[in-house]
Amino acid sequence: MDSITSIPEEAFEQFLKGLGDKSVSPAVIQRLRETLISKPDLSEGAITTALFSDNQSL
Amino acid sequence: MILVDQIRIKEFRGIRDITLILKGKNFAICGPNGTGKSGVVDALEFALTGNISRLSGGGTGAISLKKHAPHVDYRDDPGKATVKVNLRIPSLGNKMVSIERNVKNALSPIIIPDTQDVLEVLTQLENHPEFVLSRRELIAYVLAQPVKRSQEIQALLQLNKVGELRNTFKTISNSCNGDYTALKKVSDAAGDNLAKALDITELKSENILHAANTRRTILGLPLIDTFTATTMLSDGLTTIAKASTAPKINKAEALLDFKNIRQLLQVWGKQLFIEQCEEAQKELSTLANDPAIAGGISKDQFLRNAISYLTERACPVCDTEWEIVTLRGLLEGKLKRFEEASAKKSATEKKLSPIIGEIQKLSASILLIEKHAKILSPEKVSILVNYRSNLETKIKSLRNFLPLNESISALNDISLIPEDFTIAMNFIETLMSAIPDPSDIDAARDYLILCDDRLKSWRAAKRNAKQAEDKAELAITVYDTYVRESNGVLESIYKEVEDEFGSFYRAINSEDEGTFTAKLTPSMGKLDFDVEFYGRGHFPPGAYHSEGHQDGMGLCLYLALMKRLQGSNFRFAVLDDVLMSVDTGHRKEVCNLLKKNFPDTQFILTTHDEVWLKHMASAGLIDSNNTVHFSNWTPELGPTEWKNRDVWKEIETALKVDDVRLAAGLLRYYCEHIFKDICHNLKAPVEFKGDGRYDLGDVLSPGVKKLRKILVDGSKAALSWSNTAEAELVTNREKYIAACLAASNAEQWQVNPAIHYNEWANLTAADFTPVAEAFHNLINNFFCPKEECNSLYYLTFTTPKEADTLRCDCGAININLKKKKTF
Repeated sequence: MDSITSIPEEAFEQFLKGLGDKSVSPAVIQRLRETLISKPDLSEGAITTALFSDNQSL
Repeated sequence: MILVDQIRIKEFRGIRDITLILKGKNFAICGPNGTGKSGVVDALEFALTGNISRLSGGGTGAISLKKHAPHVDYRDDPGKATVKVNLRIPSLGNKMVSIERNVKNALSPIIIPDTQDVLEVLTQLENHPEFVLSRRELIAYVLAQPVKRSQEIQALLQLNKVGELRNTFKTISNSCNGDYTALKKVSDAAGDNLAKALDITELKSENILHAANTRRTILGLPLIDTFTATTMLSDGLTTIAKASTAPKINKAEALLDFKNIRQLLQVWGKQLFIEQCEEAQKELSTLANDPAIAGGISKDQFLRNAISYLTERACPVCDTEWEIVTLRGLLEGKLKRFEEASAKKSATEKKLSPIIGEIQKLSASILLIEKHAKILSPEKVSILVNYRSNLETKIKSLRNFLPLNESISALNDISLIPEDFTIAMNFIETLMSAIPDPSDIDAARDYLILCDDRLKSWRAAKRNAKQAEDKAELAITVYDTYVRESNGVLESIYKEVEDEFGSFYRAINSEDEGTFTAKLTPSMGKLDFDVEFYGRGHFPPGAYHSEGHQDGMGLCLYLALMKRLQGSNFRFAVLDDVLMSVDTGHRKEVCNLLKKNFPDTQFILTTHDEVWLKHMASAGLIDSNNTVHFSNWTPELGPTEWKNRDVWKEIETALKVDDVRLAAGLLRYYCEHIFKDICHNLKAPVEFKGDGRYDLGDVLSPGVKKLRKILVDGSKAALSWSNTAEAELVTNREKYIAACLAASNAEQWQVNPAIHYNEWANLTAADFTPVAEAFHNLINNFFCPKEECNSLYYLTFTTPKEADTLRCDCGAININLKKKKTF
């Protein structure tokens, strides 16, 4: 495939790696990966869900 | 990514109908300003992306693609404005593709073949319109303010998403932090309430147990040894006992509630609170009295609301389709205009925050008193409710901030407690005091029930606060990590770009700036760009470097960015008049840079400078026949390009339908074009014009005179070699030209730069036909008569200023100009 480097994707990957080093739960990282890279949706709602979907009781 | 073989443009921008054959190679478009070069650039961008950034970017106002992309005569028929591009895709085995769009249906191109692999490549291209670099962007990269430069470069690298996500994480973190702060307050307040109910000063386990066990002893309940997360202070007190003995009013609780509200009302009457309110009100009035600031705050609020509603690919107000990223960027750009107003609003909001907190506390306390009033004096409840509603309205106005006059009114006489409310409070308190004190057993029971109730509330509030704290911690960890890691990635990108930029710039300025370096420094949404100036340190590009050097920098920075972004896929770029200021001495190096570093990239270059065009050809950046040269432009004809056209046939056709105006225009512009080339080829002396705009009157006579002189010199040279036959042939040529010139009456025609006033246009077709024929005959004298050659004559030199021969491309014409030397 003829593709152009996605710099946002590079930054997101590096960020997710950094979260792992910060001991953020793998479930949160996995959900963020889905939201940022696999099925990109950078809306505030989608990111909030990715961060806290196991802790939405509040 | 793609190589363009051909483009056909019809009724688009200033172009009527033109086909350019690019053959997938570098291609140059040359012509004076206003002759249609940028129309070709727009057409390429339109065909490949469905958009023209010049017509759709910021500051374009009422200009739109649909209304203004078609030729002016087809402005009401955008379907007639079409661009068709034939291209190849190297990564798909040079697959041939055609893409055709018309302005009416700009987003529905006809793509052949429309296979998935082709569509994926074209979608990538559509998402990266930065293959067009104009002088506007070039200036933005180099000379713009750091914030603007950062925005331009971020747009080029499509970093908007990186910045957007950072903002989103920040918003989420702020929101979580706000939630935590609010819930912590609720938790602290619940703790205070519990401590008051327990009548202790500090919520320590031993204090709680001591207070509770004292009452449990009175009730004959076993003592509690340890205080855990599930301990209930009234444990063992049966439900039946609670229900049967519970009074209608828990006097202990009511006393506490009254004590609390009296304390709050004391705060309200204090000078400090009054001054706080007056100061906040004064600030609000200052903002309201400054129309610019008041308007700014209002617009700032509107834009922030608009941004918060951006969830669909459309404007939340009018439903016009937008890319969210683009629209958000546009709105955020507008927001920056109201930064001052926004800052003043934030400062005032900070002052309002503690006031709102006090009003909230009083409102909550009144609610508790209402509960007792309903039992003791129902007729007074409405007075309490009215005042509480009044306070809630004030809270709403102050929180909304806008309209400012409502916020100002909310603070009017805020510390004055309504008289009817005070009377009602006193009355209810008196009734409450009259309730007989409970027995020790009842008091102990009420005490434990009230404390357990508040203990439950406190525990729930603490749980909520803890959850909010965890979320806030996660949010800030995520935000900090994102900022650090994304900055790391961007810094590494900028470093690579910085190095590549430096090496490109050194390549074109090796003779005097061979050690040149540059620094790209990102900080807080800005991008500082400093370049070395002859070993004296790093400075902004516009500080000391010349305009020509700055143009070179812009190109180098663009190339470095594109290389980082597209790598080996950087196969196609349009450089729209971006090197107008580069001086002659550096042009060869620019050509070499493009050739050497980007051998697989097809550059489409436009320039208004004919000398630049010749430099590109002589440096081998473009084939001399892979160019188009626009001479003139008129609304009727569009850009005039003469190569591959049979202008004499066109004139004949026009005259057949009696269109003298068209025929006259064609003849005039063609003559202007061809005599410029003739003067160039024959080194004819033309009177210099600072603006570089030469019309027919400037070039015809010098061109003809020079050829006649060359032929006279050729004849003399032939005689010096005793070649009388050649001398006679050449002399006859010269005489024939003189006759042609006389027949054309060229020198007597008024030559006016405006076609509409050209006297030829006033002739009849019958009168104009011999004029055209005479000029045809005259001009033919400058071309090789062989049909397969038909090239313009030119001079050859072995030493400067002394021509050797007059030649054509095929050699059929080869007139020696060197006389035999005599000793």
